[in-house]
Amino acid sequence: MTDKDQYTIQQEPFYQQQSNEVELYEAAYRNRLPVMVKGPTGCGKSRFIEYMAWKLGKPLITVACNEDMTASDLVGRYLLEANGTRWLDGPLTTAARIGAICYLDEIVEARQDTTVVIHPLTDHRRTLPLDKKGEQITAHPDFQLVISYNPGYQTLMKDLKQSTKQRFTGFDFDYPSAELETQIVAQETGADPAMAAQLVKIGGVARSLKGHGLDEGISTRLLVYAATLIKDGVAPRDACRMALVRPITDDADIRDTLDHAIDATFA
Amino acid sequence: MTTETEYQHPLMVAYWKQLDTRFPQIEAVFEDCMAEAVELLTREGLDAYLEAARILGKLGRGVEPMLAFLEGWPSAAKAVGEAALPFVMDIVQAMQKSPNSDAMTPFLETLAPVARRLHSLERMQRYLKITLDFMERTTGSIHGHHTTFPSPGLPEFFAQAPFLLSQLSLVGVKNWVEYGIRNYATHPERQKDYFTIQSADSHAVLQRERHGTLFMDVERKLDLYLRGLWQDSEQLVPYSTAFDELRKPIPYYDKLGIRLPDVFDDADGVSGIDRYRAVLAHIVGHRRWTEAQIADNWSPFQRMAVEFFEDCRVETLLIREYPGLRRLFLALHPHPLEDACDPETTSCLRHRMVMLSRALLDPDHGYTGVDLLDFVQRFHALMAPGESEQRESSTQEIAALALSYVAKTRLQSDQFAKVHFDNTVVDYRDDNRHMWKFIEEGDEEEAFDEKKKREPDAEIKGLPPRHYPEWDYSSQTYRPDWVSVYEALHPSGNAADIDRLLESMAPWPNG
Repeated sequence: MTDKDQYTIQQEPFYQQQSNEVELYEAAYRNRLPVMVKGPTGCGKSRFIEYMAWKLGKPLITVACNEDMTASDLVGRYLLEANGTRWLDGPLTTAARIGAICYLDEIVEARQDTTVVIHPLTDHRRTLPLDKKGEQITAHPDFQLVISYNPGYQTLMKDLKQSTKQRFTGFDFDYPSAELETQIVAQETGADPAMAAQLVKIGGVARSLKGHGLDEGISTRLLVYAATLIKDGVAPRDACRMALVRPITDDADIRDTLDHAIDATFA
Repeated sequence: MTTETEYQHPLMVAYWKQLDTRFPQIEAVFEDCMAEAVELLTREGLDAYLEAARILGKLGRGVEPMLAFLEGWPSAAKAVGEAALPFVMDIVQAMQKSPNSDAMTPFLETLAPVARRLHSLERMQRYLKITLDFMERTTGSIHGHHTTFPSPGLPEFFAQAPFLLSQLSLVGVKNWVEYGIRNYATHPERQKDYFTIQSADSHAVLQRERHGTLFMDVERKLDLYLRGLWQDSEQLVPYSTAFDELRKPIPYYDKLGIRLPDVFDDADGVSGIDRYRAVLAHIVGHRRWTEAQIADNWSPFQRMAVEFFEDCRVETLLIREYPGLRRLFLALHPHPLEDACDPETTSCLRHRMVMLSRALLDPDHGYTGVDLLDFVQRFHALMAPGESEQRESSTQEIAALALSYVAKTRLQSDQFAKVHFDNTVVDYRDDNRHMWKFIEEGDEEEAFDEKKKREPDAEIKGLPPRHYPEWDYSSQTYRPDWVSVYEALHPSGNAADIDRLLESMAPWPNG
């Protein structure tokens, strides 16, 4: 049998609640409704799910979706062995069997036909047919499906089918407010709150350039990286250039503007 | 000198002989020229100078070339070295042999200011090469006449050369000349317009080649700066700084956009782009925090003081937002010496205001004036966040402080016509025209009922045309402002017309 403990989250992950999302998630879980979390990269979607799994005391199985993923990668496949074949459960099947929260990260990266396999698990049926094996699994009562995606990347090619979308309840995530984000950066890294506030300010500059040459602003995750570097003794300007500016853009004009914002923020 | 007098120095007589001329105009200035030459030239240089002048006098082109040379060469030689003389004389000779001898005088007349700009023999040689190339390519047959015509633009070019070199690098001059030759080699009149810097594209090409940070190169960065750091956006409109010699325009903003100079050179260790950013930050400060005041009842001095205090107020608020701006502002803000202006003889108004402005922004200003320190302290008390965070200082409050400053520090000498201007211009600040509203247009009684030309809030219809450079294959250059785009809303009409058109063009149904 699968070792359930390996999927359990042992330590409380730090998560700063933004509004009533924790209660709403709990309500969704009580009724085993599938959940979709949307939001820009690095704003805390995965952290939120991890935190909720810990809070509910349920195992969490995360799948990072990609274009080459097939339905078998999710559901399971027969493997060749010396004496014949052996069935190996995929992560989705495992989660349905042991009653875990199955988290499909960046679901739009997977091909649309692949994602259709989740459909029977996400409505009243709560079953997963393993057609290759001729077995029908009924999901464990604790099982829940969660998907995340980043609407910023949506193109005509990469979007969810309506038939998939309409099986989920949704949470919209965004970067937290400046005060909250300052708190998060400070708490996550142990950085000085004044320094964290300055980092958040620089983050704000980049976020207001979104759509004017930037696809995505500086994420909370990058702010945390910068604070970590500063904590380690790197000069703030260098840390910001390295963690905040260089990763997000190759556009010289934007880089120059953000570099100037860094200079202007630190006296 | 034909009538020799007793007090003449024998050396002067010898020089005069060497010059071998009988032009009376030369005689009138000869001694002064020689006095300068003796001071600036070496012994050999002096001989070469006199010999060259003698040759110029014998060319049969009148007195002007010789006069211009005698007056100009010593200081030119001081700037670029005596070794440049043979090269200069080569050009003169080339002109003499071509139909361009009329250009000789303007060439020699502007030689000294040009040399002072160029400052080295090597650069002088390059300048001479440009002129020689110019001359060769624009002299010749026009419209099939195979008689040679003089270059129409050459004399005009020499007249403009000192100005050009003050605005452009040598490479810039070369490109500017090149453009003129390519496009106007066969249009004598337009060539003249171009080289007198009168035609529009002459201005535009000049603009393109200027040194410093050009607005057009950094426009996007400035737009990003406004959006990113200040969440503001506005049409940015450059104005030209090259052609207004008497009155330099200052940045400002109005309903049509923010006006900025078309070029900023680096200054005080601050790069051109950062100077643009300082201007924009200052203007954003006004847009955020300044409320227009009624100007009618205040004297010009009172208004000036209110402007200075308000400028400092918005900058203090800006620095609160981005502390790094203090460094930028202080690097650009003048820091005049406390005793640089004498109130007994001069109007020290501006000097006083600039010192105060510096002191309001710079904690290490180092000034000791009692009134100044008192007002610095009152300013900071006013700016300090009050009991509740909601309370912010206002233009009104700062104006009251400014008026009491005026009352306290007024001097009789402020009325003097001699105003102390040195080191008192804060060039990243705008002209504050948005700060004032006037109830009356003027003091004249009959002005009351006059209709205003346009309501200040009236909506602007349509946008001004935008110009873009475009490749001109016939001259193989990018011609500035060659394309004009007029943006306008399409007039509304009957959509059914289009549908009918599409229907009539529709393919036949199959089968």
